[in-house]
Amino acid sequence: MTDRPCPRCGNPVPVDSGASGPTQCPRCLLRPPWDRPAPIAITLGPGQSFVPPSIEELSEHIVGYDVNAKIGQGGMGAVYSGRQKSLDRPVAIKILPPQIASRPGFRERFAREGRALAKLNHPNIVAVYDFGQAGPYAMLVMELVEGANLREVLAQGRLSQAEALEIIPQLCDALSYAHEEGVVHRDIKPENLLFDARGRLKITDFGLAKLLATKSDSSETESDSREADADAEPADQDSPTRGVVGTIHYMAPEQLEKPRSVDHRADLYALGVVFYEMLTGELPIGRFEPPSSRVNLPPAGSSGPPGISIDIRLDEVVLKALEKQPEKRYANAAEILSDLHSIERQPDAATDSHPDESGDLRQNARRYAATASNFASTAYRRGRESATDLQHSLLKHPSVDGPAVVSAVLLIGGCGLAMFLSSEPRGEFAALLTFVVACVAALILARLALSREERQRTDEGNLLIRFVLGAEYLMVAGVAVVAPVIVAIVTWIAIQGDVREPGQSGWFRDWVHVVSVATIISAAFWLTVLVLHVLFPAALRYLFKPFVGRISVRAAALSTLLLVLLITGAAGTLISMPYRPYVEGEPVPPELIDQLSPRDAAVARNVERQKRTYQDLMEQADLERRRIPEPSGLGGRRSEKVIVPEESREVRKR
Amino acid sequence: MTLAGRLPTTRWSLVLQAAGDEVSDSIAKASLEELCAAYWPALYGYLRRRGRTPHDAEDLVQGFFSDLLARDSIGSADATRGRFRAFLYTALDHYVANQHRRQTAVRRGGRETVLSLQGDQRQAIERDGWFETEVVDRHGDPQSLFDRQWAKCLLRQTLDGLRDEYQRRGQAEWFDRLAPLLTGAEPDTQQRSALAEELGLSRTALKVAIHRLRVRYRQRLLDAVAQTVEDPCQSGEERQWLFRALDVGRPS
Repeated sequence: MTDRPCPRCGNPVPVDSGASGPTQCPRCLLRPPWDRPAPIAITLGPGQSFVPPSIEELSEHIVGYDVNAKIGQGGMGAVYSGRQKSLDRPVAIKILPPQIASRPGFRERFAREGRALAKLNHPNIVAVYDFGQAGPYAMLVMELVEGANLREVLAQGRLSQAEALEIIPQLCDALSYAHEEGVVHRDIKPENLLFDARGRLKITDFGLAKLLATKSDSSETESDSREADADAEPADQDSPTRGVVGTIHYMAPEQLEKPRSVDHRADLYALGVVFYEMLTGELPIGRFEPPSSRVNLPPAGSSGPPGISIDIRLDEVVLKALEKQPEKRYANAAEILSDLHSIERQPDAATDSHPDESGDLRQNARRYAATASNFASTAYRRGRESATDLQHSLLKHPSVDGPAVVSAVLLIGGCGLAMFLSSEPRGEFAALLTFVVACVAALILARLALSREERQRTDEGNLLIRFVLGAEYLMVAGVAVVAPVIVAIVTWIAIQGDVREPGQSGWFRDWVHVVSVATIISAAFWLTVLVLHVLFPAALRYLFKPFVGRISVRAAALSTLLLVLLITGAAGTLISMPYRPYVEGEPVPPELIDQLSPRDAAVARNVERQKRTYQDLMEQADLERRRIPEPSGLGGRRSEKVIVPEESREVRKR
Repeated sequence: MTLAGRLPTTRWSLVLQAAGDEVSDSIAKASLEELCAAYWPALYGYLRRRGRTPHDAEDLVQGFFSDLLARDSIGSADATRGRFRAFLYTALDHYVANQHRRQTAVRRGGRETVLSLQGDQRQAIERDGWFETEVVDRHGDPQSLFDRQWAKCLLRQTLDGLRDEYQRRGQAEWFDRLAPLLTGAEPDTQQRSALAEELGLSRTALKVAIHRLRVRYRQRLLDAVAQTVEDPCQSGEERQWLFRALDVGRPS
């Protein structure tokens, strides 16, 4: 006898050599992995603080029925299993909290609703046998369903598409029937979807939510005439959310906002939630992904193919049922059913199709053929699966992703081609043309994809579109950012002269001036853009979609303040360090030359230098004159006479 | 729903509540007999693993139970009396230590066989890998060895009872196919459809069947644990104790 480790807890498990099959791990049998409390969705309602009576207490109030055991309790009361003595059949007895039964007018409503519920006769709806009063409790006697509810079924893991499609059509059928009869469930959730031992769906608690709903805000206009008399009831403060009865994650948005104006489409929303939960094991909360992309990817860390794959067409059904606005949802359950039928009729190519193995070949040949075809079909399936995976991850929405991919290829390819052409002799023009055409075409395609994406309201944005548009916008915006700075510097140089290099005298003043002027002009430019954006918000948003949004008043005010501060600061600096005015010809003391603008400083320096040269020459001439007595000086003097007057004339002219 | 809420009294509490009058004594005796019958494989398996021969072990268990059932009442102020398992371990220990003296006494006075062990039952245990009767363990901690055998006995008893229940409903095949799901990993889609087809169920019905099996198993398990403690509130603790005892076997 050998031991093998339990795959779950690692404890050695004796391997049984007997006929009774492999022994199970005793440790896991004592605390089975599935034996943990499962979360349940509790109906918001007046029954939260309700302490149900014991079996004995209840038996005292009920005539004609034996009460056996309590089998459940929720926001709408408690359920007991029992037996109807007269017909000797098992029943479920639901009692409602006494605070509801004691409400004025409740008995009449209960009688009316009870009759409506008892009329519902459908194989997928738990039948109501009887209703009445049991002491302080309102009581409903129903068909007993011994099996499991959907919550318990989901505890075994999410359902495959085929499993979900065994259930949802029954749900649609039952809802469609009840809605035609004028009954809205209002509290469809996994806990209320029961299955009998044969796996048949049985919806329970039909219409109870409406019966239990307390009076809502009296200012609300009442459309349902059947509710008119109910409005006469005094407001009931028992419920934490007045007027709302339902289960939070399964309630349609309108059910929370206007509990009185709820119609059958709230049930379709709840159906969407249940459908989503079946397929993914999660609730569609916040920005949720469509079921196929939630499930079809293999779980992180596993390299194997996905165990379950979901037809992408089911996404549309689920998402349409989950529309926030009732008008956008399916109009009725029958529509969902017909959509599901058409999906089932045209099976997705990706779902596996085993080749038919029957054939009148001999035993051995058949086995080999079967092995081979199994192998082929597995390979085929794997291939299809990875192809669909790729398709799913890349081309989830072909109408959006198609142009996006093309635009990216155009942009990158165009840039590459332009670079190649520009290296050719005399290819500059062709390169420029290619670049511009590629950019424009890519921009148009990307914008097309973006507008389609917006129409489809997909949850995650396509990255390629954003990449292409980002690159294009940067080409424009980059110029817009740099242009004011360049213009400012060029203009400044044209007026004031070349900026002195650092280290030269007076360079600091130049740099302060250049930086300040560039700052002022850029800030003024952005201020203009900001003002334009505030005044015409649509313009920039349209131009730079999807990167530019509406600016908030606060952000606009803050940015304006910052820009104005920048302009003022730069202007202040400029004023505090002005250039010294210079009139040409006027002598400037050399220590003040630094304070002149570069152009003036150059002129002033030039003037000074010429003055100095002139003075030097005059001094030299004087020296020459004093040396005159020399005998052969005439020629030399003449030559000097020719040169000196010319130079001094020039100086004088100035 | 737990058994704790439904049954205020457990078998072991009935044993302990024997008050000396005829009615309560006979109830106590019947309850003790039931408990002993249920747990003798644990004692037998324990003695076998401590190195006793099959015959020797059977004799000892038989003698021990006869002795126990012949008593007027269970040891009065015993610290271990809250739990049947702990009580039985101490008592068995004591009995085995005084085995020789008792054997001679039995021979002298003769003994009434109250609880008869059937030979084929014993052989079934020997064949069954569950109690590992072939592997002698003289060096390990006897108490935890006893607890482990006890836990296995409890589980076997629960599974057997559940199988009987299914068999009575004509669903023994269901039980045999579905019982591995009590501990194994959740089956994947393909396994589920194969299983459903095999049992002739719809996919949903299979899930319902798995759920029902688990619910029934859990109920029976909790029920069985509760029967061996004085107060049903202690059954959680007892289950945790056994769970830890089973962990001792993990190779370090």
